[in-house]
Order: sequence, then structure tokens, then C-alpha cells
Amino acid sequence: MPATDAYWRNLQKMHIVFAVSSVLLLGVTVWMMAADHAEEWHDHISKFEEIRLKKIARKVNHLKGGEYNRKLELLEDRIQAANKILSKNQAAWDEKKAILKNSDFELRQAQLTLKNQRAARNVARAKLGIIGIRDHADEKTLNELKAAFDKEQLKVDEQTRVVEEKETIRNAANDDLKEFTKIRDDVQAKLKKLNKTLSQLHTIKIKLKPDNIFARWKRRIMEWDIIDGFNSHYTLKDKLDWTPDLPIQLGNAKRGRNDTCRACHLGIAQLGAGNVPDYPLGHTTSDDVDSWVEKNRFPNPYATHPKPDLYLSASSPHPLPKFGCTICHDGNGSGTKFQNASHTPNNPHIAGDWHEQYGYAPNHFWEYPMLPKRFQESGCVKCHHQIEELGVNPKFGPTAPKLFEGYRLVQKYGCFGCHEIHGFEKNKSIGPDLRLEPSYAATAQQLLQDRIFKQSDRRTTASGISLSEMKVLAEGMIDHPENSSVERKRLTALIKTDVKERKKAELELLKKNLSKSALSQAKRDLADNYLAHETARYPQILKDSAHAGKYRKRGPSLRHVGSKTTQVWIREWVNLPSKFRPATRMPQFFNLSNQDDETAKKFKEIELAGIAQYLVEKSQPIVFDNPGQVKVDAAMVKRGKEQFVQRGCVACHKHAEVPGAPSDFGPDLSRLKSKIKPDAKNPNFSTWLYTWIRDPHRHHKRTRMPNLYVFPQDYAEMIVGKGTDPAADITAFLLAKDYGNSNGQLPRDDRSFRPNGKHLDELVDLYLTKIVKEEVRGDWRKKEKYYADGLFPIKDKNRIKGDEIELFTADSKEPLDPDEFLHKKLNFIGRRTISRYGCYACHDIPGFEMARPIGTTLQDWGRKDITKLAPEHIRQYLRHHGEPDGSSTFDRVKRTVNRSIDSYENETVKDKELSAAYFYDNLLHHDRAGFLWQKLRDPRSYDYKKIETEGYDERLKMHKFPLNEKEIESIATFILGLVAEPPPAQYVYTPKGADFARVEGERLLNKFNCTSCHLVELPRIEIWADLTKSPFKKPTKPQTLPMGYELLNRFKPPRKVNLSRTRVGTDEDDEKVNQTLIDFRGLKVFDPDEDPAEEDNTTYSVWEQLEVNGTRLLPGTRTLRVNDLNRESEHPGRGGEFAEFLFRYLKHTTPGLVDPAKSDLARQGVPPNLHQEGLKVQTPWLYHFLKDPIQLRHTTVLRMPRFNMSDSEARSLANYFAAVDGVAFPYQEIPQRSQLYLNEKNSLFPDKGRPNGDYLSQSWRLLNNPKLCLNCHSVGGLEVKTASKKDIRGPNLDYVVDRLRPDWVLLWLYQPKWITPYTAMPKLFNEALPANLDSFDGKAQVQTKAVRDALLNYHRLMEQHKNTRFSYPTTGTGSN
Amino acid sequence: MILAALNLDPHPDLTSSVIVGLGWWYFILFLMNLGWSCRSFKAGGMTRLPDILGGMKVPTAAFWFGYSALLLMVSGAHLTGSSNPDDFSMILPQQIRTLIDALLSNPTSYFMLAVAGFVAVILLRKFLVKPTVAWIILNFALIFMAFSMTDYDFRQIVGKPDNVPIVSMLFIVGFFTWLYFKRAVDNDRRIEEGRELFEKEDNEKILVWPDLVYTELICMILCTVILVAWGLLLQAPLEEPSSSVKTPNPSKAPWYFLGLQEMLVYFDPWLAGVVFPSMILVGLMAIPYIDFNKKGNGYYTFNERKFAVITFMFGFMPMWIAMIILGTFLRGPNWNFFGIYEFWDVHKLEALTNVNLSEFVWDQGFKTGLPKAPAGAGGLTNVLYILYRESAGFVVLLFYFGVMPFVLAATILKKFFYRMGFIRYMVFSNLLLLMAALPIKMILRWSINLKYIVAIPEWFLNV
Repeated sequence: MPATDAYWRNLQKMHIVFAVSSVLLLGVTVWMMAADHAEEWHDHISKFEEIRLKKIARKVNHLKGGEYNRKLELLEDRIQAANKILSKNQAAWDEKKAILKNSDFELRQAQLTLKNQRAARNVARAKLGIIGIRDHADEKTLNELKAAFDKEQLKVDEQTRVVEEKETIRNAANDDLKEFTKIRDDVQAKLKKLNKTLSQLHTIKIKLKPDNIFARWKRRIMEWDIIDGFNSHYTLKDKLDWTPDLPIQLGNAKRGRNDTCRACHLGIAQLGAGNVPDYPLGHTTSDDVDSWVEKNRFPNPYATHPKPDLYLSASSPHPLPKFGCTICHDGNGSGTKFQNASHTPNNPHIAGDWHEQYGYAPNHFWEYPMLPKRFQESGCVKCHHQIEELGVNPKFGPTAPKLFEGYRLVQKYGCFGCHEIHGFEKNKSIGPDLRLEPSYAATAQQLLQDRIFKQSDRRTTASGISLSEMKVLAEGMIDHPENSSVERKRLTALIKTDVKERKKAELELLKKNLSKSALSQAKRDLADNYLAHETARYPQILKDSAHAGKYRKRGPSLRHVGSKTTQVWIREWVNLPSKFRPATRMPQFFNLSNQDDETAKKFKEIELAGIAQYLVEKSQPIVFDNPGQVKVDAAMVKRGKEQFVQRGCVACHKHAEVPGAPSDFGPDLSRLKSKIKPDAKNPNFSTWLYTWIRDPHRHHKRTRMPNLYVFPQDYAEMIVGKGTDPAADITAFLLAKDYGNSNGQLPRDDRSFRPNGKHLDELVDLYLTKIVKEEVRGDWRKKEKYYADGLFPIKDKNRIKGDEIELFTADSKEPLDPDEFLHKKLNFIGRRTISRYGCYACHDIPGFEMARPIGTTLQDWGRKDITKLAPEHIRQYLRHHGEPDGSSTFDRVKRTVNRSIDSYENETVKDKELSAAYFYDNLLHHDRAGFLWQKLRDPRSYDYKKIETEGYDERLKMHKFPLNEKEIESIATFILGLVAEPPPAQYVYTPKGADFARVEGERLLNKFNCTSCHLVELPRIEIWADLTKSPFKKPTKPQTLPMGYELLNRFKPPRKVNLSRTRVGTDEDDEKVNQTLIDFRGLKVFDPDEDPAEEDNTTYSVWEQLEVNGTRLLPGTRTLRVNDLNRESEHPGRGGEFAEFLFRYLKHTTPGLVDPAKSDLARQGVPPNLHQEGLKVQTPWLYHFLKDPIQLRHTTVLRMPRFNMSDSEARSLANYFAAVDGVAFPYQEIPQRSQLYLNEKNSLFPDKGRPNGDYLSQSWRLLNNPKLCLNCHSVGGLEVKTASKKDIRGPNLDYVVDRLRPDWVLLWLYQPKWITPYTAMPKLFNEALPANLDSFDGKAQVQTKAVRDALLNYHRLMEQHKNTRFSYPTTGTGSN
Repeated sequence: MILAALNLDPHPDLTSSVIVGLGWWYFILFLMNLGWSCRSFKAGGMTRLPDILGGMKVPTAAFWFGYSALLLMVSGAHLTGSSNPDDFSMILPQQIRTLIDALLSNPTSYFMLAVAGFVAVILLRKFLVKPTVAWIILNFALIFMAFSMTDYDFRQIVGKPDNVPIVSMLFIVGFFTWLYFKRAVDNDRRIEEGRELFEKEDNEKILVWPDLVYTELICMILCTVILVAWGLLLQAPLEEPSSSVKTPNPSKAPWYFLGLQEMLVYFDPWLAGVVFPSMILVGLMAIPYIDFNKKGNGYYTFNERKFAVITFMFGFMPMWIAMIILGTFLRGPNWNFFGIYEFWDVHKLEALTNVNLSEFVWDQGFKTGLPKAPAGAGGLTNVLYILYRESAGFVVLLFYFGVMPFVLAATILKKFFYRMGFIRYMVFSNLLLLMAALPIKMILRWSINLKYIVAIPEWFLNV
């Protein structure tokens, strides 16, 4: 068909289609823009403005209420009054105004003229400069020009004077007028001041909601969708926190964080003066903004961040611009939608709410989802690698208590034994460092077991290595493994030389062309003269490590376990530790969910028997202390029990006979009778236990059990009968009977026990099949032969690397004796089982010095790839089982999910159930937290329905710890924080100086359980007091010794008590009185039940200086008797639980001490409290004391034990106390010893009558006055002879010189009770009383200092004077 | 997490939002069929009822109206009825799911089905091109989709924003194939009847302006509208940041490369990734030079170009499109096969003990074990030993590429050989054999676990 000019399509239709499609394009474009602007943060901004406006309105109302109106009226009245006076004198006022106006006019005229004159002068000067000087004018012209300038200048000068005159006149007129209106102006200024805050609020309000109708409309239009994009307050610009220094790892790229969280969290950093949140967070259930404003509680996202002192504010350690948000919280900082920000709900209920409200759904693609509230503390670990400062912090309190608890639990249960938590990558700190210390000590001990040391006639090995040198080196390593670098280097060199020489000798043998059997015999003979093959491997573990682990193995050493207990007990114990000791920390290895089949049951017996046999057989002997002839009788047991309490055993151990013992740091000792192997000759006594009590280090050098000096002593005569051996008594007590279980002990020994041989062979075969087939090719073909004759197929000991070393039989031809073979097989199974379960992670076991941890490392577990977790059939397990009672976890969670959130009986149950639901849900999503939760709840449950298809040795081995769900959550908080993503060094918290000492000290306080005996922080008590009565009634005036008060104020600065809470209560006479809540730090002196006269009353001693209503309450001098009705609360202090226990015990068991008046005596008998210890002692002394504690006090019933502390530990702990009290360490200056100080004193106090006598000699005489110190203290070699029963023997003063800090001594001498209210030390010097001694003219102030100076110059004085008896002067006496 | 909050099932087959979505789906289907009914009513076709129902003649449109009404009711039940998933019974029965999974999750049956489908399309083309048949097939496909949507796993895989274009591609490819066959069948009939071709009849010239340019402009606008709306409704599927240490499982190529990725399973990377793609491109470029059939230029036909059309369509449909579908919907974690209703469990394992041809020959044939150069032998000895070891493979390859063309020339391709001349024929036959190599290798892998015909990992040379 030919072409025509007609259109193919109807053009009219095309236009319509075009029009419709264009409209569609416009539509989607608008849709696109609208969608872009529909993000939540726009709405949040509008809502937040509403909140702000309402808040302002409320504040304005508040300001205008009450007082304001009265003031306003008053001021307005006064203005009116002033105006009235002014209008009365209207004529005069008008006149003044006219004068001012006139003079003002004249001044302005004069100023104008001056201005013109100056311009003319400037022109003349310019002409002179340009024409005259630049253009080299002739002399004449120059002069003319100069004259013209001078003329103009003269005019200017003249006019300036005129202006000044006029100004003076004008100012005077102005002052006149002001004087006239002064009263009114002043009142107006006051009015302005009154309205200042209001006008500021008004300014803000006008900005948010303009008064002007045009401005308001402009603002409204600017808030319209799409147009708001051009509006300055709807941009992200000022809501962005850009932290280029804190990069985030996104796949392969690292880039700065771009946190836009404040786009919605608008009030997050809004702080008022004094870091007070402007929008405090509150869980407001209502949606009503008015109610939020009224309660001043705001929900997220409008609320201010809690704890502004710690976070976000400029003065906090985490200022917002430096840190942003996501470094701590995780989440996607760039996301501006609720969903994109990767929020994480805290439980399924919240997830449901969020889903409805924001369309929330979990997003697996963002690798750093926000930490849910329950794990928000995990984020701290990124920078706080020490953790300690998050648990105990003097400035902020416990900032991450849950995380800290998790960290402590990991320490408590020794998780790091199997799961290394390596804190370093190369030399960079990446997180907490929890690792076992290198096994130097154990290796050295094992080295000494080399058979070559047992050859009695041998001095050196065949290579010439001195055995005694090796022994000395090894013993050095055992004693101080942490400082054994020199020893280890030398030992390594010796061992390597020996190996080299042995190889050389072997080569020589080869050259001799011996027959095969002769050669191997010769080789064996040769080997006997060198170090053993095992020893030759040690150099690889003796190496130095740049960052060695610091933790000791958690459980007791089993190196000498054979002398301690029996195989039967070990079998029973390992089978189910909680059966013997319910509160034990030993985890459960057997009888778990993957062991309820026949295979596991039959192998369990073999494995238990193997472990027990291996441990006992490999046990190494120790040297015992000799208790002499012991005859156990009832008296001895009774004494033993007393000793058990008083010597400090109870500080760490519980016992059924000692109810209320405060600590479970060590094991419960009630059932030792069934555990400890008794002496052969004396079934009621164990020399091992006796030796352990006397000297624990004999059994285990690395034990945490201290040496308690349980020797016979005389210092506690009133309690200890003379001539008895307390260690033997305690032993007798502990072994008198099985206290925990009266109905039967475990069998003592079971010689008839034989394991099932068939099962044993099956198990041996299971392991050997894997080991031997590599060696004997053809799949372990000679199996039958081996089980018949017991001759191990691998003949070369060097080639055996594993546990099968126990089966090694050299190349004998004779079949093994069946019993011996059985024995060997059992040893092999024992060793193999220990290897498999990793028992050596907690216990020192011979033969496992080189073993590596069996668990996965945890230092980056918080970021572990979730696809690498193997949930296996855990869903099915939890659907049908999962709870301790066997019921289904699924059902439990289902109940929780379907239950209303308000229907729980209490918060604890609610938290527990919601927490379980969270973890279950998390587990269903294959996430880490849920995996960990179930792993700790039931570690073997991941083997559900797997054991049927996998080999016995492939089963899961993780053991079960006695943890409850709350503890598991704490541990999860810690473990999930281990992400090994340290930010740049400047962000990582690296404490230095005092902070470092504090952190280290906290770790050690926990490690050695110091706080069980010693109180380190005083309890805080809140009481309702009637302030009109004593002791608050009248201001106390410092009476004497102003120096003393000055010192007191430094040591215990007065604290103003907050008196904001009051009530109407009843006093002792049941009368209604006004009471105020006050709080103080102090100790209980006696309980209500102790004093019949004072029922319902508790008495406290106040330990701090309080300021109540202008009354100063000095510490120690007053006790407060508080009726129980008036006691609001008692917050326990930190530590000292044992001291408190012993305090009560002594009061109730010691005759005479039950009298409340003698309460102080009981206090003096218990371990001293260490409150402000840093102010008291010199750090170097404390270090020495910790390393080797001397007997200091004579009043305490026990001695400071000696802990197995390394040098650095003792140093850190000594520094800790100084750091806590903010004083200098590690070195202290003692200015009292300097010659300059003494010269000055000498000139001030010449010794009258003794020409050569000096200040110190006088002081020394004063010190040696028998009426003073010598009454109670030994000093200068003079033993104290207490004259009367009333005098209590104090510490030996010889120690003061090195021990105490000068200022502390001085304050102590002024008033000991200010420091320690319960002390027996009296106040010696008092200015108000007649001078008791003539030295220094009887001036108490001088005397006090003199005694202090003498004590601090002790060595010097001892050399000069020896001990000097005080001689009474001939005239004048001082009596006291 | 949210799922747990609702019913503790992280993989629910039905949720209330799915039910509502399906309601709208049926409603759209209703609207489509309403349109079709009107079309049918206008055409006025009559159908005779079966004798049991009276044997009356009724308008065909009545059936369509009835069907539409049924769809409207189903839609209404979804939209207005209970949205509680437990009360809902219009779901795909488990037996059907199991059956389909069993058919699809096995590569052999999947490939066979694809080939069978391909053959059926060729054979039944005259029936299939009828509009009513096509419409019924479309209806069937959409209802099948709707039923499948009641399965959680199916929703996950089909609803992934990445996969939406592939689902639409299925329909688009179907439509254009249908269109081709419709035209081709029409023309073939015309040729048979000696009538003029459709293209000849329809040979009217049209103006560039306004007919062409205006139409193009409108198309451009509508495409923009569609893309913008699509972009707003289905957000870009942003996954985790790329990392060389942590790759997603499964790691999939862009959808258009999934066919290539599938080849990687059967061939060494240098073959599947380099040689074959190059050969495909070269082969496509070579078509005009190889083609000697003068017929079928400028118009649709099937009968006149049977060989060309079948060869091309075999390469395109079962071996490219079907592979994309397979790669998208059936390959899951660890590159394992999963049915469309099967949960993508990373722990699923398949036995893949593949054996090289040389191992077949030496281990199972001669039972001597693979020949290995003696320890310490020189380089040349090693080379010779390797060649000796793989000699069977070389023989096979030599036969396939060296001898087969001649065998074919002598037998079924005799006509081709004569008309093309030697060089053209050799190029053509080798390209053809290369194309056939893929299904052959796939079948060998599935049937006897053959890994490589020539396996020389020492030189990274595997065929």
C-alpha cells in the first residue's frame, strides 16, 4: 500500500494518552517527594516543638505564680509612687529637662564645628605632606604651608577645649536629671531583672510560635511537606554527629561514623545548668504531651540521656561531639528511620509493639544491630578493658554493674581456663585480658620429677649439666614464676645442651655397627644418663611472653592429691560434685543430657575410675609437718572449733557447725571427714590436713589459701589454752565427723573395685583406632595381638605425642602381666579423659604442663559470625525439653508471649520470664546471645538427637556450671562485649597513676578476698532525727588544740547533711515531734537485743564529721542511739563481713564482752578496718607488710595471714590504698627527719639546763615517760609491762618510724577516737587541762608534735640514747 | 523476632497481611477476567453444554462471567473474612508442595522437564497459540502463584526485591515466545494455503512524526512512571557491606549471569567463565555467515527455518532462561538444590563425590590405580605420565571435536556439509558441539558423577 499523508493513529486519542501519562508522571514525582519527606523525624521535630512550647508555658506559669505577682505589684506600686513624686515637682523637673536639652544642643553644635575644623586641619596637613615634602617645595612655600597647618591646628585645639567645656556642662545637667529620677530608675531596673528569665523564655517562644500573624503564617507554610525541605529547622545539619576518629568497619572499608540519631532523639543532649536533664526520661504510659510536661517525664525519643555527669555533657568523660552514639550503643547511625537505625527490642513484647508502631522487623544485614537494653553495658568493653573501674568507681559509682558481675563470674568459675580471652593483638590492647599464667611453676615441679634426679649417686648428667644447678633454678621458678626470666633462660640453655650432647652420643652409637637389639639396648642405657625425653620438650614453654596471662588456675592443685584423698572419693566427686558439696563451683561433667544412653553409662564408670587412678598414681609426695603424738578428744575438737572461727578460716570457708559464716570464697568444709584420707595409724587425724593448715604452700605454691600462722601464740591467752597446737585442734575438729551428712560416709577405700574389662577395652579401642592406624598401616591390623599381649605397637617413645604414652611398653618380647595391662589401660583412659574434658584448665595435674586450652577463644566472640554457630537440633530440644524439671521451654515462652505484660506478680518474675523469652527468640534467629544462653543453661543440649549418629568421642564436652539465669545474662553481657574492636588509642581507657593503682587494687582485693576480713568502705545509715535535741541542738565550739581541728578537717572534711526530707514522728516518750532525715557513715556498736535496757534501740558510732544545721558533729566522740522506728535504712559498707561476724562471735562467746560497754574490746579483737588506710601508712611499709606480715596488734585474736603474693601484686595493693585516699605514693616525704626542720625546732625549744640537749632529746624523754606511751606500748626495746588489767597492749612503737605517715600520727595523738572510734588509745594531751608534764613548758600542742617527731626519728634517737628512762625532775610533778 | 511475638513460629505460612495481599491479587485477577468476559461477549462465541447438562448452546462469555464472579467471591473472602491464619484453608496442600519440590529440587528432573516443556511447545504450537488457551494458561499460572504464596519459603524466594524482575521476566518471555509462535503459525498457514504473508499484507508506511516519535515519547514517560513507582514500592535490597572475608551464602551472580554461574558447576572456571562466554558471543556473531537458508527473512515463520529456530530456542530457553530460573529459585545455601517450597537450610548436605574420567578408567576399569611418575622423576617424565594418565580423556575430546563433525557430516548433517563447504561446516559443527557439550556434561554429572573428562589440576587444566 502506498504511503499517505494520513496519520496512522488518531491524534486526538494520542493527545489524551499523552496528557494522562504526563499527569501520571507528575503524580509519581510528587509521590516520590512526599515519600522522601514522610520520614518519622519530621514528625518528631513538630512534636518536640509542641513539647517545648508547653514546657515554656508551664515554666512561665510557674514563674508568674505566687511570689512573682507580689513582687511585680510591689515594684509597680513603687514606680507609681516615684512617678507621683516626680509629677509633684513637675516644674522643677521640666526645668532640669530644659537645661539638659539646651546644653545637649550646644554640645552637638560645638562637636559639629570641631568636626569641620578637623577636616580643614587634615587638608592642611596633607598639603604640607604632599606639596611641601614629597614634591620638594622651596623653602618659602614650605613655610607657608606649615603656617597654614599651624593655623588650622590652633583652631582645632581651641574648639576641642570648647567641646570639653560643653560636655562638662551637659554631663552635669544629665546627672542632675538622673538624681531627680533615681528612685524610679532603680525600681525599673529591678523590674527588668525580675522579668529577665521570662523575657528569655518569651524570645524562645516567639521563635517557635511567632506572635505576629504574618510570621506565624510564614512559619506554618514553611512546615508544609516538601516545602519544609527548604526550612532551616527541618534539616539534619545541626543534628549530625560526625566522628571521623571513631571509624566503623563496613566490610572491607573503614569509615568515620555519621550518627544522625539526634534527628529523632531531639532532647537527648538538652541539659540545664548543673548538668540537669531538661527532659528527664520516664516511662510515661500516656500519649498526652500535657501529662508529660506536667510530670516532667518524657518518653523516648524526646527524653534526655540519663546520667549526664557520665555521658554526653561537655564536662563528662564521654562528651557527645567526641563520641557520638553508635560507638557505645551500636546500631546504624546513618539510618534516619526507626527501622534503618537497627533498633533492637529488649523482649518480644516490645518487638510486637514496635512492629505495630514502626513496622519494625529484624534486619540481619546490618552487622552491628543496636544493643538491646539488657546488653547495653556490653558496649563499654570496647574501651574499658580493665572492667574493674566499671564496677567500683569513686566518682560515678558502679556504672556497669551487670557487665561487672559477668566479669566477676567469669573469674569466679575460671572460664578462661578453657576459653582464652586474649587481650592483646601484637602489642595493642584489644579487650579484657583473662588468661592463665604460663605454667612455669608446674613445669619446674614436673622437671624435678625427671628420673635422673632420683639417681642418688648422680651429680651431673652425662653431658656434664649440674643437677644441683638445675634443681636450684627449678626451685627458684617454683617460688617466683612471674620473675623467673633468668632462671628460665639458663634452664633452657642447659636442657638444649643436654639434648645436643645426647644426639651426638647416639650418632656415635650408630657408627659402632651393633645388632638391632643391641643397638636399642645401648640407646636405652644411654638415655638413662641424660634428661628424659619429656624434659627435652620443656624449652618451648619456658619462653618469655610479651604479655603473659595473669590468672592462676581456678581449682586446687592435684599434683599431690594422692596424699590428700582417695580414689573412691575422686570417683564419687567427679561423677556429681554437687552431691558431695551442693554449693561447689566445680562443674558437672557427667550425667548430663548427652550421656543418658547405654554407651555413655558404661563408659562413665571406666572414665571415672581412670581419672581417679591417674591422679592418685601420678601424685607426687610432699614433706609433712610433724604434729607429734596426737590424741583426739572432745576437748581438742571443741578447741578446734573455736580456733576455726577465730583464726580466720571462716573468712573464706563455710562450715555446718558455724552458722552464719559470711563468705563462700573457699569451699564448704563440713564434709572433710569423708574426703580427706586419714593417717594410717590414726583414723581421726590427717597429717596432710595438719600440714595444709599450717603451711598451705607446701602442698601448692600457687594456692590462694594464705598462711594463717596457726601456731601456738600467747597474745590471745584468754581464748587459747596454753600448750595446745591450734593447727592440730582445727584438724581434729574438721575430721571429727562428716558434719554435712550424718547418715553415712563414703567408703574409705575400695580395693576390690575393678572396672569392667570389656568396656575398658572398647573404650581403649575407640581411641587407639584413631591413633594407631597412622602408625601401623592397614587400619590397626594387629589389634587382636595387642589386646592379647599388651605390647604397644609403636616402639619409639619419641614418636608418641599423645596420651597413649601411658600404654608404652618399650620393645619387650614378654607379654604384659594382665593386671599391669589393665592398670596401664586405665591410666591411659584416665589421661585421655582428663585431656578431653580439659581438667587441667582448672587444676595443676602432673603431665599436663604443656597442654593447651580446649575451648574456643572468646576475645572476639561478641562478633562471631553467626553462621559459624551450630544450633543443631536445639529448636526441637527446646520444644520438648529444656527446663530443669524436664518441661518444654517452648511452652514456657509461649505462656510469656501470650501473657499481658501487666499480669506479673512482681518485677523479678516478669524480668525473668521476659528475659527467657528474649533469649529463646534470639536462639530461634540463630543469634549469639541465645546460643550462649542455652549453652550455659544446658551445655550438652546441642547434642540432642546427635549422639545416635556420631561417635562417642565426638560428643560435646562443655561442662555444666551451677549458674542461674540471671547470672547467665550477666555473663552474656560480658561475653557479647568482647568484640576485639578497640577504637583508636586515645579513646581506650588507659588508667595511669592513681587510677591505674585503683583498678589493679580492685582486682587484687577480689583475688585475695581481702574484703572478707577488712572493711574498706563504711556503711551508710539513714535515720529520722529530732534536730531540736542533743546532739544536734547547739553549735559545738572547738575547745582546744586548733591544729588538731585543722588536721581533722583535712582528713575528714565536714559534710553538710541534706535536710530536705522531714516528717512528723514519735520520739522515745511517744510524743509527736518533727523529724528530719539525716544520713551518716558509721558502725554499729551494739544491737537492740544485746542490751536489755535499750530494747528496740541500736547504737551507732559516727565515723565522719557531720554538719547539721550549723552543728558540727565530730567523728568518734559521739554515739547515736536510734530507735528502730526511726531508722530509715542501713546501706551496708564494703567488706568486713568476717570482721562483723567475729565481732558478734567474740561478744557472745567471750566472758565479759557481752556487756555493751565492752563492745569496743570485741571490735579490737577483729581484723582492723582499712577505711582511710592510705592516709595512715607509708606505702613502702605496706608493701613489705603484705609480702611478709609481722605481728602488729596484740588485741586481735588472729594475725594477718601471709598470702602468696607476687612482688607486683603486693606493690599494686600497697599503692591502691594510697590512691584511694588521694595521697602520695609510692614514696613519701617525712620532713620531720630533715635537718632544717630539726634546726628550727632546736632554736625554738632549747633544752633548759642541758646545754647540749636538743629538741629531739627532749622529745625522746617525753616519749619514754612511763606515764605516757610505755603504759601500753613497747618502744625502744623496752617491753611493755601493763600495770593494770585495764591497760590494753598496743602495737610496738618501734614500727611507727617506717609504718605511719606524719600527719596521721599527729592527728592520732591529738584525738585517736576521731580516727578510730573504738580504739583503746586515750587522748593524751589537752591544752585546757593543767599541763600534765613539764616538758616543753607543758604546752600540749608542742608536746604532741614532739612525741610524733621522736617516733619518726626513732633510729637516730636509738643510736644516740639507747633507751632512756624518764627521770622525774626535782620540782613540780604532773599527775594524770 | 516479631514473629516470635505473634505465634512463636519464625516461618509462618500464613499471616494476616499475606491474606489481605492475596485478596487484592484475586481482585486484580477478577478485573482481568471481567475484561476477558466482555471481550468474549462481544465476540459472541457459543459453546454447547455437555449432554448431562442439557446439551444446550450457551454463550462462551457466560463461563467467563461465572469464573470472574467466583474470583470476586474469593477475593471478598480474603479481604473481609477472618484474618486469623489458623482459620484459613485456601492454601496449597502439602502433598502438592512435596511433589513439586521433589520434581524441582532434582536437577535431572528439572532439566528434563525444561526440555520436555520445550519440545511440547514446539509440537503443540498450533494449539497453544489460540488466545483462549493462552489466557487459560495465564490464569492458571497466576492462580498457581497465588496458592504458592501461602507457603513461607516460596514467599521468601519470590518476594525478594531482587527476584521480582525475574518473576516478571518469566511472564514476559512467555508472552514474546507466544507472540512469535502466533505469528509464525499464522504465516506458515498462509504459506500452506498460498496466501500472502501477514507482513506483506500489513505493509503500510507510517510517519515518523507524529506516529513514531509521539509514541516513543509516551512510552518514555510511562516507563519513567513505572520505574519511579517500582522504586518507591520495592526498596533497593541493601544487604551487608561487601567483605572479602565474609561472603554471603549463597553468593549469586546478577540474575542475567546465573546461566553462566550454573555452568561453573560443570566446567572448570576457565572454560565456563572465559571460553564458553566468548564462544557464545562469537557464535552469535557468526550466525549470519553460517546461515545458508535464504528463507524466513523479514517475516515470522517456523516451518521454513525449523533447524535454526529449534537450535536457537534450545540454546535460549532450556539452557539460558531455565538456568536463570534454576539459579534464582532453586539454588540455595552452599549452592545446593532446594525446592521452591523448601526451607533454605544451610545444614542440608548432598553427596557430591565426583569422579574424573581417568579415575573411572584406571581405578574401576583397569583396577591399577592412577599412573604416577616415580618419585624424583624429571620434569618431562612427569609431563608424560600426566598425559598418559589423562589419555582416555584426550581420546574422548579428540573424538568429540575431531571425529564427530565428520560422522555428522556423513550422517544426519550430510545436507549441511554439502551446502556449507568444509570450513563453514567445521565452524558450524564445532559451535553446535560446544553447545551440546553443556547438556551432555550435565547429564554425565547427574548420571555417573563424572567430574572432568580431562583433569590436570597440576596445570589448572580441567575439561
